[in-house]
Amino acid sequence: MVEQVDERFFWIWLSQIPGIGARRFHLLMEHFGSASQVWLASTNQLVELTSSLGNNVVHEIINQRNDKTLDRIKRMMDSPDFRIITLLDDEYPILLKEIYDPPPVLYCKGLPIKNNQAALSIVGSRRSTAYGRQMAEKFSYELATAGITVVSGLARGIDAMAHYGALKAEGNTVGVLGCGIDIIYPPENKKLFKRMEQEGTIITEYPPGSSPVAGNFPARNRIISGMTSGVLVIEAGERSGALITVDFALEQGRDVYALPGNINVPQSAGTNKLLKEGAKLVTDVQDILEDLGLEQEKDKKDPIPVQLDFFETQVYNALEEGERHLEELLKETKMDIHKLNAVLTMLEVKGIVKQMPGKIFIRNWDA
Amino acid sequence: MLAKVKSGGIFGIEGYIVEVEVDISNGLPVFDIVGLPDLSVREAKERVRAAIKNSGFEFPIKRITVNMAPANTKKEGSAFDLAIAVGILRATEQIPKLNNFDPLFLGELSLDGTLRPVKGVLPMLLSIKENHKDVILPYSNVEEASNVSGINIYPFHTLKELVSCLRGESSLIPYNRTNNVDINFGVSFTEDFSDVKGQESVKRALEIAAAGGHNVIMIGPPGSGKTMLAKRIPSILPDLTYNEALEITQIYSVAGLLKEKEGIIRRRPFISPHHTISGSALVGGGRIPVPGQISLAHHGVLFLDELPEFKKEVLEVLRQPLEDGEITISRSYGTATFPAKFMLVGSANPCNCGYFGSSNDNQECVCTPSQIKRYLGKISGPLMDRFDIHIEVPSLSFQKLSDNEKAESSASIRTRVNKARERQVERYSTEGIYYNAQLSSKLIRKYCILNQPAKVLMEQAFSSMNLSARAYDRILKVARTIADLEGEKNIQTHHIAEAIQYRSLDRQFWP
Repeated sequence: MVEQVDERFFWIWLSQIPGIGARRFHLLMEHFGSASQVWLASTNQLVELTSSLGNNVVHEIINQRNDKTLDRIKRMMDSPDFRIITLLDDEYPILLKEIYDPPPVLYCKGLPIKNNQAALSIVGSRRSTAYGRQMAEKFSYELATAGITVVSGLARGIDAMAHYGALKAEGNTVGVLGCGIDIIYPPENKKLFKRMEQEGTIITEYPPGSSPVAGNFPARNRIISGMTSGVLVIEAGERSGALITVDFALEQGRDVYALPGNINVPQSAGTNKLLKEGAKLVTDVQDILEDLGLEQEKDKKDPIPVQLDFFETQVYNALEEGERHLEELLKETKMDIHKLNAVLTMLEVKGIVKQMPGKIFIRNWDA
Repeated sequence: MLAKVKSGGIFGIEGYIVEVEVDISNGLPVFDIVGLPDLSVREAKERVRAAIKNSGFEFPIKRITVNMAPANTKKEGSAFDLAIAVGILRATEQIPKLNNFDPLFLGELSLDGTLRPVKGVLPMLLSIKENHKDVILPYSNVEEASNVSGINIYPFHTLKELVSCLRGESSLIPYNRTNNVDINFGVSFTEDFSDVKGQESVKRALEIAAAGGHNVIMIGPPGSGKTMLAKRIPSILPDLTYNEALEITQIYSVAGLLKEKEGIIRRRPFISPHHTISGSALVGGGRIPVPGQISLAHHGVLFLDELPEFKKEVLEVLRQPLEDGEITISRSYGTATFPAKFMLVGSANPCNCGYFGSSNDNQECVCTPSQIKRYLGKISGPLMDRFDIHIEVPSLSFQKLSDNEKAESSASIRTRVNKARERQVERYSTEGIYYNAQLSSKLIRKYCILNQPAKVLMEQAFSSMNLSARAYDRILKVARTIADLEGEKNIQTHHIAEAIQYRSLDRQFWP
């Protein structure tokens, strides 16, 4: 009993030492048998591992073996702002335990992680198109409605919209950070963060105070794919970070799904390539649900028929293939500009069409 | 011997009489001018001396004292040359004193005695015409002066010619003016709306702005043609009225910007100061107040390109003119008020990199939403509030859509604008305003009444689009203009619906 608590304490101590990531943690565990043993080991025993750990890390371990550090760790564990989950705890994401180098310790905020339901990751470019953002929100909403936890990276663009979609459905969503739990990055997602703290879950393997260094993000991506049974790539360019998450998913034996994109648009080059390489093509949430055995009768809530007049219908039809600029709509519908402006307002008010900056209009997916 | 000759001075845009007194007495030959003359007035000494001599008259080798009354007002400029010369000639009895003829003398003198044009003739004469009916001035100023009714104008080319007349050698006949022709007749614009292909949505918004006098802000990526469009706005503004033309001419006269022989300005000004401009250059100033860019834009367009790049303190000074339509410049010795009623047109990139909202091919915005907010946030709230209409100008790729189509000419658009403006002038004839943009909150309640369906639409739009409260009155004003363009007496739902499209920056999709 007492040993269990102590062990957990030392797990946390060991994992937060600078330079000790999951891989080195597990290496030390293998060598010494337990984290508390690392604490108790002699200097010599630690120095022996210099070749595999490097000088700096060995020194750090030695430096952090003192009362001051113990107090600091204790204070961290007592912090009201976040909780700490270790691999030994129940709340630790089940699927994540199976990967090659699972993070030994996770810092969490928000609702507890539900290990009794399926989870899926949604990833994509930070510089996405309006269509991409819309689809992220839509698929996330539908997956969350079906009782699936949506996992993403709380980045701007696709990630943010995925979280919003799940929140909109009042479902579960987990955001995985590439920095400390006390840091909001990117800063413009502040509002989303606050919501996630209350209505979702935020986790990170990095101790409080860790900056969002570029090198952290690929590592964090392995957690995104590791804690779910599959990754849905909404939209990704050829060099998108989302593709790193896909690599991890494949390594971890997870499913990879992708939405087909406009072949002329650079933001879809990555996703289309994935499809060529064998990712499952998804055009409807059912394509994913059937894999998870959660095929559902599509919620046939009778759509409240919205009455569109002749002109509104014309404009609605012109938006069939996706987003259009005001000038494009003018040309296509051949309407007078004042008529078109008025019609667009009506369609916006009715919730059928959405306007984006730059006078771009797109059909609302939940109309 | 003492002689008194009348002349005129200008302060701001107001003229006042200057009594030029010339005293010639025995004593060492000195030539003094008193009455707070500035350097250009003091230099008159040389010009007058040479002009008199070269015209074949005698320049007295005596003690000459010239006083310019009232003595406590600063005098500036070269308009007093003629009066001083005539004063000297009269004091030396080379010109007889004429009974019942005490005209104003205005004119700069060349060394050879030729009369050169002076600034500010029009506003000066307008100010003093009640009590002074006769004016003698250079021929170059005669067109300008012809605009002033109820006075006799006597133009001359040279001092010699004038003296000859005053001596009775030739008769003094007032200038025979041509009747005022329609000032809008024959006015053409080099820049026309038909030069712009596509951009129908922008043109429509500008037409509405022109009709109702609404201030406009154009947001779009670099190279989207904001400047090109702005330059063409004067070509669709309502026809100048005679009074408006007169006001513009007065300002340009004072600024010395009237062209040779230009009697009246027939085109609305388009002023586009660079964003490095100083506050006093923008609104006017100087030791002796001269009109600033905003007054030069009176009854025209003031175009502030790259609005976020202007210094905040400089934009601050626009507050009074935007509110009152005039600017007051105070000096220790007096206050000058210049008119400054203009259409404010601002342009800006949507963000630092310029491409926010351009979701197509090659251009992608690399700014974060907070960067975007910060960029446009450089424009102060109160200034942003001045823009009734927000226009998003599409990037180049969308403009190529209409390569071959024939675009509507400015003249055609202007016809509609004129009609819409006429309706407004008539409607507000008892209210002291002339166009919809001038409507105060109170007047909006009176003249922009909505029927039930329109009210419902406003409510729905406000709740679903998250528009800010300040947008409400603006939408009403703009809807009122849209209705006027259609010739509709009452504002209908579709007018409101269209007006709502011109409040992009109030919408929640804008950071």
